[in-house]
Amino acid sequence: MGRMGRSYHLSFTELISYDPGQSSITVPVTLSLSHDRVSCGAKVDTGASLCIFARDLGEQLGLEIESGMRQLVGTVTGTFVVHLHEVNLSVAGLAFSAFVGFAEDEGFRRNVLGRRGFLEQITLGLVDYDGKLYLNSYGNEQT
Amino acid sequence: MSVEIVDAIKQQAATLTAQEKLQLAHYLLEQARLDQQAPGNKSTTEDAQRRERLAWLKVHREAYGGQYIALDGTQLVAVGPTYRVAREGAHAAGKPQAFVMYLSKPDEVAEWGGWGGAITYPSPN
Repeated sequence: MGRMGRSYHLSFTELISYDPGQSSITVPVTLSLSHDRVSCGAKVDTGASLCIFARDLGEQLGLEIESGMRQLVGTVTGTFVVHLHEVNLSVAGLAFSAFVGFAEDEGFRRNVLGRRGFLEQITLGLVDYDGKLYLNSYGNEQT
Repeated sequence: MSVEIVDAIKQQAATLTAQEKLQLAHYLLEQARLDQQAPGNKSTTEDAQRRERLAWLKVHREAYGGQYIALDGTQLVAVGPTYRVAREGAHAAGKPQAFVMYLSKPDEVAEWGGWGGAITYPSPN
């Protein structure tokens, strides 16, 4: 509890229940372009700069991966390359246009929802104890 | 449609009264408007817009890299150090639907975050 007499309130329109027994907070995501859409699971990662997806997901959307904007991504063990493309990103009932990365390496299988393109566009509430993730589009809060 | 068919329609339309020509004109305008709103055309427009925006971003990465930008199509409407500043700038410019995003510098390295320890691609070499 905060200081005496002070509390903080946020409101959300979406609730995602995830398995708190798993090692990560993984939520269902849909990526789409005008003609194509593809669904996958993605890990919510507040420490990641970007939203990054496996290459084959971008290819299923009809993207020429290397035609995107090249971006180097650093990890604790080295770097890898992604190519940024604008897509429609849907999580629960929320949808955004977002500039996301698709891994250059075909062996890269991990999908991540990071700050740019996702977290910066939403209000997020997390109760890991219960395995519940609350979401809302920023600016859509009810007062 | 062939040029011959269009010419034939024009010749037939020439025989109409002024009122009938106006009715035909309204009909054709409405059909053209509906055609432009058809899903296929909308998709083509969106795809073209994405490609144009990506091209703009590549050209202007050096100039605006490291900042948040708001683009209305390929028109820059706001720039700022945070998503919020760029978004509010777009609203102030009368472009609330502008696409707001962070444009990284050409040599910038993004952070992978908390899952980095589990990454095996690519090899450190």
